[in-house]
Amino acid sequence: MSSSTIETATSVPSAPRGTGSRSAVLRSIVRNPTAVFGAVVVLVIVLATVFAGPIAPFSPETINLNLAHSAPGHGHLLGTDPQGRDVFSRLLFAGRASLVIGIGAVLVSLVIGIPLGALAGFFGGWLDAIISRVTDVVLSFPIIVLAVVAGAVLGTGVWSLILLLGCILWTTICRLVRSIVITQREADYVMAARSLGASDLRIIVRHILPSTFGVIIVNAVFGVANVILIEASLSFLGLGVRPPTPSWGNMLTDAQSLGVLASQPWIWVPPAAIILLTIVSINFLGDGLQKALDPRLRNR
Amino acid sequence: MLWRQILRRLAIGVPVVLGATILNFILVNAAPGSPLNSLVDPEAGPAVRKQMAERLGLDRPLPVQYGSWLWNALHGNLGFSYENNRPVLDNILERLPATLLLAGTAMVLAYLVGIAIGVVAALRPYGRIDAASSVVGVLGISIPSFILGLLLIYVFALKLHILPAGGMQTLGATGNGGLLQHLVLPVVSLAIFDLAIVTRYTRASMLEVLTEDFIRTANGKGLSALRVVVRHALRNALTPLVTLAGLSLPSLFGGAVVVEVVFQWPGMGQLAVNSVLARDYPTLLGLSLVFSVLVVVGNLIADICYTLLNPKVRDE
Repeated sequence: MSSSTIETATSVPSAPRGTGSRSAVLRSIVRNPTAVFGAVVVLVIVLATVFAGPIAPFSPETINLNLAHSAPGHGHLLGTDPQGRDVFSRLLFAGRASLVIGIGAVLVSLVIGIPLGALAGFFGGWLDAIISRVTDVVLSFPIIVLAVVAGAVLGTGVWSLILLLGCILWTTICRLVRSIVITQREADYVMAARSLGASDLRIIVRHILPSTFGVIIVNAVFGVANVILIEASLSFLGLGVRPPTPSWGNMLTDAQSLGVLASQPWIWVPPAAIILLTIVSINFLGDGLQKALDPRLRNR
Repeated sequence: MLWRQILRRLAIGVPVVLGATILNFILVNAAPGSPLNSLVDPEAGPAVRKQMAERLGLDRPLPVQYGSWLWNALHGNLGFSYENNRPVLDNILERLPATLLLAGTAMVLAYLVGIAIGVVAALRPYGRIDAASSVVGVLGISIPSFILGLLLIYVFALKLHILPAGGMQTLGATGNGGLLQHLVLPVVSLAIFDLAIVTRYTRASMLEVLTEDFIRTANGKGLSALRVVVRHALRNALTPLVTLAGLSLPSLFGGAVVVEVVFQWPGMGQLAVNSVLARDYPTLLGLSLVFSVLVVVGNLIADICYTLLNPKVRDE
């Protein structure tokens, strides 16, 4: 038997994707108003932060104490913060930190979680036992407490936050991939591939993993929202992105002062609103994707 | 069967606690800068420094340090705080009730209200209440507790002046010092996330149960709708919620850390953040131990409840 026949033969009984055609998925998203709203808002926010340089009227880090605590006006669209920095410009640049950390940490968690989940699910036995126990340990620990301790140690740059949150959050994806792989490893198409001599690695990567893509994408989208929330909380506590680098969370640190909270809403309302809007939009998008990728939910 | 369940959970719980403390021990020791820097007068010579290191055991290899920390911890000695030189255990126990009160009340609120909304939403799926509840559901998982906390302080404490902005008791007050009023805003901030999750879960679970044959039988027997929902559907739909409650403990305690800082609530979370800022490592290690023990014990209780509530597991 030539290698080309194995090639075609192993791909014949294809994995059940469970997602349907690409156009059906797209149609379902476009017909879902909240998903469209989420996608548009996310797109606008991404563009605004990518082009923060040309859009922002001021440098986000220039301190001007003469202008501290100014209300909106005099060229400062959203006023200035207690150090006299332009709130609007900081808001734009802060989005970079939040989005880069959100996406970066989720990518790290996928890089760790997918292979571990696939290995645990496919091989079972002691490998599964070890990976599952490690997952239990990481899952049972308050994420914020772990991040607080680790942040104190690893420093609090954008890159260390990405690594840190990625290394904490891989467990969800690992469990999901593991549970799907377990249901698939005895499936007919896997047996067929194996009987034709496909290696374990090839079976996992080419045959089983594609059936997990829908779940992984939906989970990754929700994951980005979750990381942005955690990063904002950490930065708010002074344990995430450190000033002068702006992040939506650390822009709210000033609101811990009741004076600022009571009488200078321009300092805290914009970052609070943009955090909420971003997370809500990403979750709407995730919901839409979940419905679109699950044929049972699609037509409701 | 119950005993096997308990043993199984302990078999997971012990590695969880050990793993969490080892992880934190490594992290704390990987921190740049030695705690000696702040404990020893920089003017003092290397001899004093060495003496201090020996006294604190910092000159020994890490595994030995961990071993002795663990040994002492098992005997109720978590070392002394670098901050105020008091025993770490005393510092933590002093703050444990405040955190348990906050987290416990938030959990009760989240489950009571979440179940109620979820059931009502499931009875009229895709109706108005259901639509409203799904908006609340998305908002609930999307709003960071500290932002909700700031909003609540702004509205109820700074504008309407009907609730206090922070702390646990009114200074100089008698009795419980207005504890209840102080509890309202932090509890709502902390509960909203779990409330959203419980609502979603209850709704989905009820919708599924309501299509089962035994519900049709109960309806067919002519039982009142209320009786069918409460006695037949709810019981079956809610048993898995017990497991969910156990699993949500880590995020509940994590949320408590943030909420305690926003509301200056004198609990363990506030202590954790202060210890990080002060690099008070013995306190941080002690806190990580207590938090992980709380999570494990909480899960153990959830497992026992689940087993007792679920005849299929119980009588196996």
